[in-house]
Amino acid sequence: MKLFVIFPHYLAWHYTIALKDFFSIWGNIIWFLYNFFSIEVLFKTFFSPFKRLTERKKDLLDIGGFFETLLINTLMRIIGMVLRTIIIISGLVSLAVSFFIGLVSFFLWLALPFIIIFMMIVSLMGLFKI
Amino acid sequence: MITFAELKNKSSKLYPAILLEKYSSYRKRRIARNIMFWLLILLFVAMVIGPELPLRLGEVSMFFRDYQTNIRSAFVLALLVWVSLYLIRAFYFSHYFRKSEIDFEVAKLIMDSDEETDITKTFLESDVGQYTMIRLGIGSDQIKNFVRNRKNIIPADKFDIERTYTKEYIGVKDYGKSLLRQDPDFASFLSQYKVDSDTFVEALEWVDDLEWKIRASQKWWDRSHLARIKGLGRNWAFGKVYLLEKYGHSIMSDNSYLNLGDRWRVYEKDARKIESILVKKRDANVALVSPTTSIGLNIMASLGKMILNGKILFEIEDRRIYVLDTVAIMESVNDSNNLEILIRDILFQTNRAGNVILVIPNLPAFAEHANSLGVDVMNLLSDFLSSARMQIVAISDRHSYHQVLEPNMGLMQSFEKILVEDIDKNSAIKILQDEVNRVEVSNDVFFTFQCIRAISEGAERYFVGSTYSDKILDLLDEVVVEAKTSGRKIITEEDAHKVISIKTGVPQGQITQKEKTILANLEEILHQRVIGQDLAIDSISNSMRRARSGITDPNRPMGSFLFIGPTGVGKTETVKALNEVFFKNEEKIIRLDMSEYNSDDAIEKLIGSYSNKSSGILASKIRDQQYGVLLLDEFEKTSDKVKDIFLQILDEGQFSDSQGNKINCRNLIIIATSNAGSQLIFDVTRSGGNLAEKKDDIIKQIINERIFKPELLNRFDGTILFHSLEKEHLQKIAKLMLEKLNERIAKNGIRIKAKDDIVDYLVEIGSDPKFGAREMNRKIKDEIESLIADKIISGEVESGDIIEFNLEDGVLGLTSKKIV
Repeated sequence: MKLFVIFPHYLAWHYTIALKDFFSIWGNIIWFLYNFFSIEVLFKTFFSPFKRLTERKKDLLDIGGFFETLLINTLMRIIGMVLRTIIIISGLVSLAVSFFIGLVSFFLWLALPFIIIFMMIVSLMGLFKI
Repeated sequence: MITFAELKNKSSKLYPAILLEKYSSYRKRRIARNIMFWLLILLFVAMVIGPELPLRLGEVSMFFRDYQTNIRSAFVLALLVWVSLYLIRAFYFSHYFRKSEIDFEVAKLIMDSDEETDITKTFLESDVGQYTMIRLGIGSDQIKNFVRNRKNIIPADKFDIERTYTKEYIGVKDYGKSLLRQDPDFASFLSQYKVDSDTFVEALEWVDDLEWKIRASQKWWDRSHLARIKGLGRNWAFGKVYLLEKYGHSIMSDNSYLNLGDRWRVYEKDARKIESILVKKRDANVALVSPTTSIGLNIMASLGKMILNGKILFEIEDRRIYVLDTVAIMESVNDSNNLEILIRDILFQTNRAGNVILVIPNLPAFAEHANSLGVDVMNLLSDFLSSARMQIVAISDRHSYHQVLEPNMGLMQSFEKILVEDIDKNSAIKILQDEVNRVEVSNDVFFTFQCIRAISEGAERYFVGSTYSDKILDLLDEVVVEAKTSGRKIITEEDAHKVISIKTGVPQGQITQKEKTILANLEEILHQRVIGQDLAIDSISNSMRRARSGITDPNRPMGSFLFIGPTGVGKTETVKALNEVFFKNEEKIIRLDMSEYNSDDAIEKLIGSYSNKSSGILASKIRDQQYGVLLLDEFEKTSDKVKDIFLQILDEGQFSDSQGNKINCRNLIIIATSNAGSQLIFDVTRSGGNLAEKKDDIIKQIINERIFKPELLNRFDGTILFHSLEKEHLQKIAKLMLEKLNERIAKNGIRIKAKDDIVDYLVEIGSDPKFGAREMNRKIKDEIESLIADKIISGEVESGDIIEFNLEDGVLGLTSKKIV
């Protein structure tokens, strides 16, 4: 029976320290997504050529060569920008989703002890057909 | 001192989780969660598929239809229990990992005790206590027996903890140390199993750490876990390094380094030093001066691990670490032009990539090798050293650093030197504990803590050359193989000792009964071969007993003696006798005539030459046989430089050969013999003086004559004086030699008999006041053995005869008769 002594301790924890832990974990997940989608790095290097794949101009007087190099280098930058845009948008969407899920989870967390007790009574009644 | 009441107070913050743990352990709760999970799956299947079952299945189908509401309720109930179990886990973790003034396990032990409770009993009955005792190889029956029969109980309210290990909080080591301090009965119980206070607290900490790691590994939401997942597109802004992929490898995707476990932590301090240099804008290059290349690479792997874990300064968070394969480069090209182009291309591509830390293992050797083909690597490097797009970490051992890199002042201005050392014993034990946790799971074995300690001590003492961490891990692997082949699952220190014995030939572990008898009667045993020299034999025996009882410094030779005395008085015979007693094999004597090493090239002859890469005789002989007697004859005749090398050998038990490889001398008995001061010894003995009383005068004279420096004499475990031989000693020697001859020819069925006048005759012809008994052996061969041989060949003596020697007018003769 001593185990039930824990119950008030649990409730106290659920609405104090646990909330702090909850925000810390939520923060960790947002931090992770921000880093996983490399949002800051991709913004900073948005216009860089993809994997630094560039051509170097060899002859100053070769006009054809000049435009060829310009085309390749511009193309590499455009490829880089397109790919970065995809990742950045996915990242921002994930952040928005995780923020929303976090918010819902927060309210769910606040109500969880009551939900559990209520659902337990309902399901016990259902189980024994009271 | 923190009193029990204060401890209770500090622990009370963790009380709810402790209470939870008391009624249902962490493991039980985990099992409950798993059961609930599978029950949920089952109920879910029943809920979804049950009503869809075809009617032809009869009663089964009807059951699912009739009880559908109950099944649904059971599912919801199971789901709620499952969620509750996870909430309980979150509640427990929140307390367990909370930064508190007291370790959770210590708090648990304190809260489990009331004022009157026996604190030791509480510990022994707790999970952490039981695991610790198992790790120490102490069985539950012995513990029960101890608890049952103990008389002096330590009530909890008298218990206090002294904080010795950590300042921030009270840890298990503080608890363990205090427990043993206050419960001498428990300490003496542990000492029966050769567990001292340090061993006990180390084992306790290991168990506590493991419990912590098991729980910490579940915290997927922790930043240290999340940071390990590699980000998308991070490398898009950086270039590819095709050439480095071919002529090198990325340390950060190398499994042998990635699976470092906790090993990287022991190198973290050095890795942090490198980090602080690499964040500089320019000239951020490091000359990593490390005892071996492998230690340098381990440190770089730790830096890689820090980058992967995101625990790094932001300036270098996107860096990749590549190790250049210098051997592959040298093998792939054979002319200077191509080599230069290849190295330049690699450096150019690396620089262009923009985020590479290039590690060059053993740069001096690479530079020298390339130089032999006419390529100046240093010059090629100098173009890239000030680049902000790449950094170079050049690894070098200390010797090569001073010889090759340091003189290149211009180049070294772009490098910052970091001096690193090999790990210490505590770190070695931590690495082993981490590795053992993994090995135990994969091999289904169990290690005692003493085994881990034996491996770390054995690796340090008996194996030189590679790094300490490599040595312990190699030894660990071999111990596992050895234990598995003998079919045992519990691996103890005996297994470690056995493997070390097999590998080195050095007997390990407890002194056997046979060896105990030998050591106890060493004087007597040595006197069977050495006549007289009581003083010398006594002091050698005492030194050897000290060495084998384990109280001597393990980082010095097993024993080291300087034998001083005239020729032919038993110095070499004592060496042979010692060898026979301890090593049982004549071949175990490494004998060097030191009079041959007094020229200018003496050092090269002994330890090898750096310029022509030759190996020296001392280095190669000890490398081949690191266990036995090293006999240095006529030690006074060698050069001062050679004597200086022995200063180091006697002090540290090791020396470096010309290639910088360490040679282990810790398992040798080193004996130097010398005739220095023999005239004085001779005079003292002849005048009937006491040699022991005159010892200081004799040594003073040797020092005054500058034969040996006082610091060298002090390094020996003992300077042993051998007196010149008196007539009675010579008679005994003659008799001993005749006995040996008797044993030899007994194989031919012949025996000899010699009366005292023959013994006196041998003493007269075979000894000399100045040269002792050196000639006696030869005289016995010339006079006695030749005579017997002649008679055997002429047929006058045959098997079954007994020979009696006689003297007629000073001429030796013999008569023979049949043995009755």
